[in-house]
Amino acid sequence: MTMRVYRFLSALTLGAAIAGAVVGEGVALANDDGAIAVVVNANVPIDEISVSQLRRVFLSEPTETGGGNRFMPLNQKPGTNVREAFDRKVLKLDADEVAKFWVDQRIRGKGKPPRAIPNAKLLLRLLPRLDGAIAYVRASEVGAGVKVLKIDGKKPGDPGYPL
Amino acid sequence: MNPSKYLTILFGVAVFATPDLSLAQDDAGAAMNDEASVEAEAMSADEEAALSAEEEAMLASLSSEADVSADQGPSLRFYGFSDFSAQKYVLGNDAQEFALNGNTAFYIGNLNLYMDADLTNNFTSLIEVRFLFTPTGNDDPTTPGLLDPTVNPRQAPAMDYADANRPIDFGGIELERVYIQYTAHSLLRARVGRFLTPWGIWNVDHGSPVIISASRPYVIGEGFFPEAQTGLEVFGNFGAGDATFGYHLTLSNGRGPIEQYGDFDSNKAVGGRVWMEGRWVGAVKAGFSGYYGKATDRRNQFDPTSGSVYPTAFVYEQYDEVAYAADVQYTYGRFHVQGEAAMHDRAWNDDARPNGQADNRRFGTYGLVAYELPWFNLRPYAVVQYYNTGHNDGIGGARDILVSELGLNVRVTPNVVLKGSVAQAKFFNAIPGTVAADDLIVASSQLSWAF
Repeated sequence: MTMRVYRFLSALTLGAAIAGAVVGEGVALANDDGAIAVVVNANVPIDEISVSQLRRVFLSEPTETGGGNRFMPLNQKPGTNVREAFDRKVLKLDADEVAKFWVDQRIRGKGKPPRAIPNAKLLLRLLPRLDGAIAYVRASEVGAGVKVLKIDGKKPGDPGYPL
Repeated sequence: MNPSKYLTILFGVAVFATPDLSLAQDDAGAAMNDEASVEAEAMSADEEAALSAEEEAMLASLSSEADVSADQGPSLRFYGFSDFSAQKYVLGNDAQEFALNGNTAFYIGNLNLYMDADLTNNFTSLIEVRFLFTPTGNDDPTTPGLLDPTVNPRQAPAMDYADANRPIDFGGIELERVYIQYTAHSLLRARVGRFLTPWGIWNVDHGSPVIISASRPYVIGEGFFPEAQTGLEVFGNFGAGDATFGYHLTLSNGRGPIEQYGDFDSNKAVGGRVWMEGRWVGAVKAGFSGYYGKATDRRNQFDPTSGSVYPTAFVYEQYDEVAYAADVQYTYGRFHVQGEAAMHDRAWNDDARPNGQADNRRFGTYGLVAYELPWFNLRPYAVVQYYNTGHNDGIGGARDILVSELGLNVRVTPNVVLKGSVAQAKFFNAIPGTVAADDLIVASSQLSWAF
């Protein structure tokens, strides 16, 4: 009886694992298309930023946070869905155009791209430790210790949220 | 033993033993679960340790970019660009044959190396040097020298002391940019050193991978403004909605024979630029630039009546100059159009005017239109440029020149650009028998790359 229960539970676990993997994949896919939250170090005194300001910040134009610091933009890794979605929505550039843009900027002597952090988990751990740091992650990944900024007056999930 | 009893006992043992077995199985499962849990915990601890280590390393790296500690020192970054070209002039008259080489020539046009570093959170430095093959090639071209393969009559007179003092080719280095920059605020940044004059589009976008055509328009290289200056530049910008507005102010030695490190007059040159950039229906950039300076050449002369044993300096040539320029650039999707126009006035000091030189005004402009096709990053383009030199023998014996160019720019990768073009120059008001008496055609191809 116990064996049956054990087998049943095993089968259930395996089934749940398979289902979970499938559902999880679905969730992951859904997350890939989910809203992007712009997050900052909690000491950054602003609660809102515009898409235009974000563009300037992530094009490495010196931009003040309002608290005596300048923004330190941190990018997601190139090739990730969230990076490509952010570049497309904020910089209005696809991955190839972003690469060309930074090659051209280097030759002009006009700065370098924000540092790319290998993964969102690391990004969210670094953010609270760097004054003026600003980054973006999937809204579903936001954790404690960071502040989510409204974009053009809207927060992730609001109708008309631009990211 | 009665078999039934045996079976009963066996059954009883089995029944009795089954819970034990199941217990044993449960124990085994629990043990397995415990091991898995321990493993998971260990893995989680390993992951945490790895993540922490990565976090600390990244933090140190980001902090060092932001503020370099004294014992660490800034990290220097090297990068640059280069280009390889093939060019052919299609010559139309004897004067052109004499002045230009009609054979197809291969050459390395630019080899520019950049070195930059973040010194602190607010101080950055940029150095850009260009390596050239010259001065080789500048010697007397009339001296025969092909009989001896070790002697090149166009070689600069230098001997290789490590190789029996045979003549050696040696190149030069041009310091294009050397400056330190301080960022106080987005509205106030300052750089001192040698910087590219902030005027127009392609004086600063001077790298061959960035320039759409095979070379800059002729008028941009004609020195309406100094290409680079030594002195101080202050600049900044601010955003307002979808627009950004910016300015540049410059103070420098101005133009002169030794302007990189000296000034033969006390009048510093001043310049400025205002610009705006907006993203509405497409992206538009526009700017206006100005420059005022006094260019002076000084010589020394011994005056026996002065009573001094030292020669005295006197102004040999001198002029005041004013330049203005306007530029506009518009990009909508794959469509790109840009234009620049510049004017330059030169007024000679009557006491230091070269023979026959009149005050003059030059004017030049160009327009470029390009469209990136949806295949292979192919971008055909067309450029039309007009240059009025302001005097009758301004360019090859003509006063005006109109150049039409058709070309193809292929961004093979973000770092590699291939270009090909054919340009025709038409001269106006030309003096008969000069280079400008007939049209000139130039075919160019160039492979440029950023590294």
